[in-house]
Amino acid sequence: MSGINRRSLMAMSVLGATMGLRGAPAQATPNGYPENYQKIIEDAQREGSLLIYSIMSPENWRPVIEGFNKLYPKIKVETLDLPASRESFERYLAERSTNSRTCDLIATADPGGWIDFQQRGEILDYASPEAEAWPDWSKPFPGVYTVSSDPMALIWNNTLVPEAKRPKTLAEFVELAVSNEKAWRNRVTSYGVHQTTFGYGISYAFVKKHGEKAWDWFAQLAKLSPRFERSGGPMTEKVTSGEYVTGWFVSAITFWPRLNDPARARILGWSFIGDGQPVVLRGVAIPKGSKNVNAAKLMLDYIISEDGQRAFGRGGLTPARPGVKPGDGIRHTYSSIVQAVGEQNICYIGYDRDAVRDYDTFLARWKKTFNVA
Amino acid sequence: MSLEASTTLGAAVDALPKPLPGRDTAIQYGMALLTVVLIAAPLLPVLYQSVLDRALYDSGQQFTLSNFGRLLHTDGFGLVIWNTFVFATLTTLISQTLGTLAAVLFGRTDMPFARLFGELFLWPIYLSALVLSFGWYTIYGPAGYLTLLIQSIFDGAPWNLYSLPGMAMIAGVSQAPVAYIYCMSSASITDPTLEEAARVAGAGTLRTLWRITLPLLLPAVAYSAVLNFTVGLELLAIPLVFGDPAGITVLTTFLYNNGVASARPDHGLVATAAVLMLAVVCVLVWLQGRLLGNTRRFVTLGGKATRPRPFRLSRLRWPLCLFSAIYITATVVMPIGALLLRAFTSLLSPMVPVADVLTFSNFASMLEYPVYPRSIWNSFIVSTLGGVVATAMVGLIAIIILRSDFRWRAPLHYVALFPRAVPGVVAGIGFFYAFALVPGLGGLRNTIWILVAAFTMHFIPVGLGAVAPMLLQMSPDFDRAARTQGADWWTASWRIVLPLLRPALVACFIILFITFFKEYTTAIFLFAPGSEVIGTTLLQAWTQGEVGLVSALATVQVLVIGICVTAARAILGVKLYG
Repeated sequence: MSGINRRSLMAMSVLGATMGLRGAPAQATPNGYPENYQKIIEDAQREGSLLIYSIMSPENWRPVIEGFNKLYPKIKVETLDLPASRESFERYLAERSTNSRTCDLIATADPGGWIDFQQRGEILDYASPEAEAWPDWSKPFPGVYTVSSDPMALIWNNTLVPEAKRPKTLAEFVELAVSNEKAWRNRVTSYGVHQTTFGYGISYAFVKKHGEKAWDWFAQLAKLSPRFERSGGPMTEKVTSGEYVTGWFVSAITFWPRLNDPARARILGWSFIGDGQPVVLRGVAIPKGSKNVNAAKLMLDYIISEDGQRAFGRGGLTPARPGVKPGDGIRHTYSSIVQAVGEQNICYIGYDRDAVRDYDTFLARWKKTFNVA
Repeated sequence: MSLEASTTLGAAVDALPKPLPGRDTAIQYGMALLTVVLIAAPLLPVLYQSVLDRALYDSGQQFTLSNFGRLLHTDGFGLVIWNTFVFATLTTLISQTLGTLAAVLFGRTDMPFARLFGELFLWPIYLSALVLSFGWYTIYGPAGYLTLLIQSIFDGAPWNLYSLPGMAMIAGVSQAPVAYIYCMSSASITDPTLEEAARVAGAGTLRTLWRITLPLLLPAVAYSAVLNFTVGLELLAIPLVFGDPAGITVLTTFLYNNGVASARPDHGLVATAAVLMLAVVCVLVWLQGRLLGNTRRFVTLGGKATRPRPFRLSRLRWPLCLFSAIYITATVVMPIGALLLRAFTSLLSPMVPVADVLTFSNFASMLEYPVYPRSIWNSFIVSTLGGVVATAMVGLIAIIILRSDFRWRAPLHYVALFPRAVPGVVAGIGFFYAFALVPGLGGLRNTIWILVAAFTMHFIPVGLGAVAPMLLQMSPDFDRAARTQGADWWTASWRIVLPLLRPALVACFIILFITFFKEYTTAIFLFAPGSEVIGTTLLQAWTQGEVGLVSALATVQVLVIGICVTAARAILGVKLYG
């Protein structure tokens, strides 16, 4: 009952102005794609619609959908942005079990969810013509590709953290926090491992890199009774307003777009984490229950194409496709992060089966360390 | 009866449609069945899921009772129960104290502006706790306007919203109107005979108040206390906004976190916790029934023959008036005002002059993304159509329960009131499962019709509360007259009872419209792309930290509800208490 999808209408009316909506020319196959791709395009246009479940916001999607509709104006794209990363799978599975309409494409950052999804055999093994441009770490399972590689950063309120003290590594961050233990109590923030899979993935990967030292850092931070949030948005808001002083492992893509406001940019400072830069990989795949398989294939191919990657970059995500450079409204890309911290310091929040296995023990230790229920 | 009258009546009866044999029974059974199905639909799947070892849409489930054991052994679950209990208790204490004081002060004294304060005091109940908590956050949050102001003068702020007492304060203020309404409508507050007697015996104002008025209010206070305790148990917004970051979990946030936001959604655990919650609330509602018997099931605000003499406050008049003004300003006017102001600014801080940050950009970006206009539109549709459907249903249930000789009317009455004992979160989870289980319903899952169904089920008791009193006051002679002339039950109801009920049905519709418009807990598990409503979008925008957008959207909600309430009270004289 969504009535008319204004977004696609908007995109279509813009297009209508340039090329005339009726009698749009037949879609040409993109360069370097196989011969039979033309058939996928035709079938997709017959399907005419596409429903995506994702963890991204409408802002993130907008340039992508605009770019996609430039290529395929007849396909109406709808996205459902679910706040919890696991929810896309949950909703799909519940709908799939009743054979009701479900999504055609899933894009979310939830390694455990993807592993489980793969074990259930729900992923369509689609070989994208764009796949060859991507490294192995970005293609964990047949049919699963990577949307973006989003870094988790340190943030602080510039008015509360003097310039000379601003941290560049987690070691410096912990040192700074501990030296302000009294004043910063309840005013440091991060993701709670006990609250979101997203938070679990980041902390798990970081601990895997640093071992006991990481736990020691966490124990130091626990003295300040940090406040845990479920998403980067509130962390950014609250650090800007001074409710919090600083945060670690904050999703950079939530605050980068907000830094375009000069008033906010004066207040909000940030840094990559030089001694272990967590990078969250967002997966995308076509589920077997997809009713508009061909439209989904077109979208998946577009998302991992150079053009689609740049579009997601403009929408605020961090393009993961190697070779895509910042600029043109894109603040950072996988390549520029590697340049900033060095390849050896990146910890991928990838598709680590150990992370699924160790969840309970890790969680128990985390809860004990931070004294949370 | 005169000759002419009987001829006209005869003519009228001749004009009546001929009764169809069995029609009454069919309508009554059909409606009863529909009601039972609607109310059982969410509950059975929840019960079913609670005794399964895996998600009910998986294959190969086994029956098990281990979920209950697992729940009790869940780390920190004891603390969750304790927090929930403390939160609900504190909420109840605060709301009952404030509500009773307000009822006496605004209803029984000669304080200036008492009526105006009384009106303003009710406002929190028209808005959702969600909107109210955003308002409080803007003023009293750690980076709130007043907090920063106080901090710049003193060292540190004297309050902390991120605590059980802080949360209970907001919840208490938002629930105080319930206590107030029950006190105001209790017979004793409008029946001055005993107070007069006390005065004659030489008791002063305070003594009369303490020894006569307040004790007489006790039943109303106790009754609404159970109601508010129940609300305290099922509140989601306040614990989610303030409790979660501070690591304070209550049962609703436990359900929310384990239901949709966890690494491994544990449906067995969620359903079991929901069942537990259901059981507790059932006991409470049963207790409520026992407390006052069935006579006070419905509140009526009728006129009384004598007007009670207001207590004379004499020298305390103005100080108390000032005190009330401060209270109303601090709890209602400022939070809502700040929320509205925040909607028109890029940030709100005492360090920055408001003129520097004024902007329409929040509204501009609200209109930019389809999801916001769509959720506003959906809220209208759900409230209007849902309100009509629910009102029709409530009207039929009411006449079957109260004005028919239907065999099962007593059990039906009980069933129709049962949703009072079903927390919104539980109803939402239940409908989610129900639509996942029943083949053929899947198509409705991503539409607003599932919301209409869930909201209708959840608020049948509220609707009945608006219709039943009038039906109880209406003399049965009308329908008897029609029946003796040969009309069947349906004709008598359709031609006589329901038309007479029109004012109550209109009131019922307006109450349901407002209730549906602000409802969000029931919808949290049910909305999908295209079927978002304002409440769910507010919550999502909040979790993404879009404070400006949240304020803008909340402003729309406040405005719509404000217009509805004002219009309803001005034009129709509807009593919006349910």
